[in-house]
Amino acid sequence: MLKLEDVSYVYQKGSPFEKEALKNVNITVEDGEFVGLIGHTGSGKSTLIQLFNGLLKPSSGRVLIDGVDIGTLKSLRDVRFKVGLVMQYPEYQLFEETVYKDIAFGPRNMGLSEEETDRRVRFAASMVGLSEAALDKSPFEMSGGQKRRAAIAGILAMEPKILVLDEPTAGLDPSGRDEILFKIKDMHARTGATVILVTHSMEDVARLAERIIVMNKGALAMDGSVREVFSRGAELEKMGLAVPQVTKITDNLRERVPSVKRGIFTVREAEREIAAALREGEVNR
Amino acid sequence: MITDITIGQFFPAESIIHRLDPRTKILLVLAYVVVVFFVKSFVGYIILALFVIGCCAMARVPVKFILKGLKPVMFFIVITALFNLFLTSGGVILFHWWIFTITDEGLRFAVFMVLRLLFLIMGTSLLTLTTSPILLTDGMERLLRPLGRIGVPAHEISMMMTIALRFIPTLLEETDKIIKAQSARGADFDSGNLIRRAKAMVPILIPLFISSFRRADELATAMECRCYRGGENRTSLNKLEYGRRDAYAWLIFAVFTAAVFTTNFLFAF
Ligand SMILES: Nc1ncnc2c1ncn2[C@@H]1O[C@H](COP(=O)(O)OP(=O)(O)OP(=O)(O)O)[C@@H](O)[C@H]1O
Ligand SMILES: [Mg+2]
Repeated sequence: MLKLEDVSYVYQKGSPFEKEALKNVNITVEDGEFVGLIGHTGSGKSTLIQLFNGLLKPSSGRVLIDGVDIGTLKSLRDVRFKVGLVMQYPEYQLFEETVYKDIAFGPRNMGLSEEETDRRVRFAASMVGLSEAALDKSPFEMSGGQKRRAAIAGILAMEPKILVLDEPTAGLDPSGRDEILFKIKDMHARTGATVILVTHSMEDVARLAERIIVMNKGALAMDGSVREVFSRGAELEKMGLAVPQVTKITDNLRERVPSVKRGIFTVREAEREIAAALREGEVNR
Repeated sequence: MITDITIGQFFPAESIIHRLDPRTKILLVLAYVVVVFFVKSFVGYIILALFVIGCCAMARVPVKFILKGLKPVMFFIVITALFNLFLTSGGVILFHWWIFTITDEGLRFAVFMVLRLLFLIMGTSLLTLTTSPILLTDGMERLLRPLGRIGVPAHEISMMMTIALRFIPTLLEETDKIIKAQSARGADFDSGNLIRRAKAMVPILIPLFISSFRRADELATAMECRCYRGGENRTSLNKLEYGRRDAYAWLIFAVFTAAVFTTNFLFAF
């Protein structure tokens, strides 16, 4: 369980560039949840998730992992292995001669055996769609998208109990994006790991997450199920966010065909509703 | 955090020191460095302290801000002090144990060395704190221009210095990001012996070098795309002009210098 109690964070405290990035945030994430974290650019999402594994220390408030205040721990390494964090644009973290060795960096730091490390590296690589051949390449001669995959695999290989991803698919091609996200969703379903996904894509949140947390100007603006949050479209728009496009379309459609349901968030649901509306149209005409 | 290092950073504020001509400030800092090495007595150091603090106050830069920037160089200052403390011979022996001997000369040298380094860094960092990188280059270029006749590439030198200054904060930010990313994978930077610690730096240094080279390359391309041609016939948007305040600055500095030299004669300690 991950719990934030009244957490605030101030960057460069005491200098003229002081910036309050988080204000009194309270969040509890239970084990096994799939949470989408959304918010306008600069709303404090990246800052927030760096508190989860102790990369940043809260200016005030507490961060608890499984009931333990991580501010009181001597070493944060175990926290880092428990809470796996894929940073925003993680490509720059690659440094080893081969992709294989780079993905193995985390598991080796955990002190795992060679066989276990090998298993995890290959598994993580397959999760992000890296081929066996790619594992022996130098990470520096790969394309941007492949680097991104390798960097994500580096965290997945640690098999963290809580996986936090900061816009992992920004800049990837659509099929690669879907592939990675659905593998993560699949892993979540299989292993029961907690997943916290930061994204700017309302579509991704709608089809993957069970719960949405909305940040606005450093404060927690909304926290609820996908249905609850996306039914407050007007408020979201004020924060520079939006509901998924299909929700807008079906809402417009409802004005003409009243039988179209409320709260349509995924393309699949929309497809069914629109088909139904069309059939009804046929009958009425 | 590593981004707390303030050396080379510009501190935007409205102050008379900020408005001084950059050439004046560069020359004054050079003269200041020379003068600092001539301070030989405690009274001299008190005058020096008053001068530096006075300048900070006039520049509206909190002394606390500058002191915070000293943290990363503290290590070197302490090492220097220890060397002076134990390796200076001569004078009355104050303390002796095994191979360690402290003499009153050594103590004096150590204290002076610390003060000298502190004031050097504080004074010189005022230059970059109160001068925007653009003005700094302009000033540097103008000062070096006469040397162009004997083949010194004045413009190129000042351009290189600006770029270096400009990229210090960027590289620190980058380092901070890389350290975080590797810590997130369980990298351990502060345990084990020296060799292990040195090895632990590899995952930070390699990405840092690579991104520096990439940045340099991108910058070169961006400059090329805008048809950058250094040196010859290049004019600047804002012409530098000396004003009355520059004369005042020199005047104040002259008084300060005179005071320092006088104390050298008046006070032996
Ligand atoms: N190292 C830093 N120093 C000072 N201020 C910072 C630093 N990092 C972030 N900030 C500020 O904190 C605020 C929150 O930044 P953060 O990176 O958490 O936003 P974000 O929600 O992740 O945005 P994005 O969607 O663009 O990634 C921003 O206003 C930003 O300017
Ligand atoms: Mg971010």
